[in-house]
Amino acid sequence: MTQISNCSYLRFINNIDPSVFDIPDDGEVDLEGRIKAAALVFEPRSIDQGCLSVWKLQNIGEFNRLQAGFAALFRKKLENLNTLRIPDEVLENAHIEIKSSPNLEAFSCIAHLHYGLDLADQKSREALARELINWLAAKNLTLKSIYSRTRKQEIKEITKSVYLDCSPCVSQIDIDKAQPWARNIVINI
Amino acid sequence: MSNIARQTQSVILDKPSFPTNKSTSLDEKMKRLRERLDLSQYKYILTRKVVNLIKDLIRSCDQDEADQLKTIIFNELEGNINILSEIALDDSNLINVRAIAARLFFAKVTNTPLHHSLRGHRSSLIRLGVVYGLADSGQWEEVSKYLRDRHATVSKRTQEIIDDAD
Repeated sequence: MTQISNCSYLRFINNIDPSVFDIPDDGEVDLEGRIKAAALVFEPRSIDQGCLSVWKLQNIGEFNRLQAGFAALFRKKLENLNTLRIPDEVLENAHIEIKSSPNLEAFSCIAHLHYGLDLADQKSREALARELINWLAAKNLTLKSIYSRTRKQEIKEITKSVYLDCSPCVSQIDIDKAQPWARNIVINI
Repeated sequence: MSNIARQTQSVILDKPSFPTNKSTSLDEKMKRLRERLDLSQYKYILTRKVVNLIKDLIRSCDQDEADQLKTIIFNELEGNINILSEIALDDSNLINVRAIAARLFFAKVTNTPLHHSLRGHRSSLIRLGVVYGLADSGQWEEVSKYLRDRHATVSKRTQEIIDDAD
């Protein structure tokens, strides 16, 4: 992911490959088709009550910590971690409301970085997809600058390195919040 | 009772309760037509249901939930797995829904004529879905053919899938 100076929000997107963001230039679909396909990725599930779960990224140094913290929330180790980084100004231009929504199940160092994007209606989801595509075009960037894939083996390495980074300075890491597979990685360092 | 009424009643009462040869043939045709309509209606409903489940799968980022959704899809489609290839080939569906349908199809089926339409599909994302599906069903020789795919992402990802499996 390219350095983007402004604050942005991370959306960990679908767990099944391939994603529409893998091949954004697919000649099979026109721009409207791409916007609709991307809008589906932004559609909150029924249990999310109209809000799409995202994590605030204030500087790129926190990226691995958020990835590791997010992955550790799940009982089963994720097959991969596909991340879309949505710049703050894109949300602003698309008039998407950002709601603070601390995730108390996450490690306390990242719990407060959890937010919800109000994307209850299709119009707002399409507005976000369109704005994101326009923003990339205006900056002459490709989707690769805001989309990243972390493979299963890499999740393990990231979990290890984040723990090693955090443990000397954080007096007590609430590792009990991690699912057993993540705890095992840390214990076996 | 008037004469006309009596004649009408007689016609109704005299109408044989068993069908004639002609009406049997007509009844059978009607029955077959109804069955066909029921079948196409059933297939339509099943297709819409599977498309919605695939959308849920795309929206989910939880491995447990994704696995459950895949199981539900395959259970729903028992005996009708070709519906997945039809979803993948239908351009009225979203491109990401089509790519995942292609993956799920190839994860379950090893050889049908519908394979050919999907294997060399002009959409790179659908071909990438095919590669993942072939890998899911362990058809590694077939997977390796995509190392030379015309789209760089498809060939690069094929290499990654092969490396991850080793």
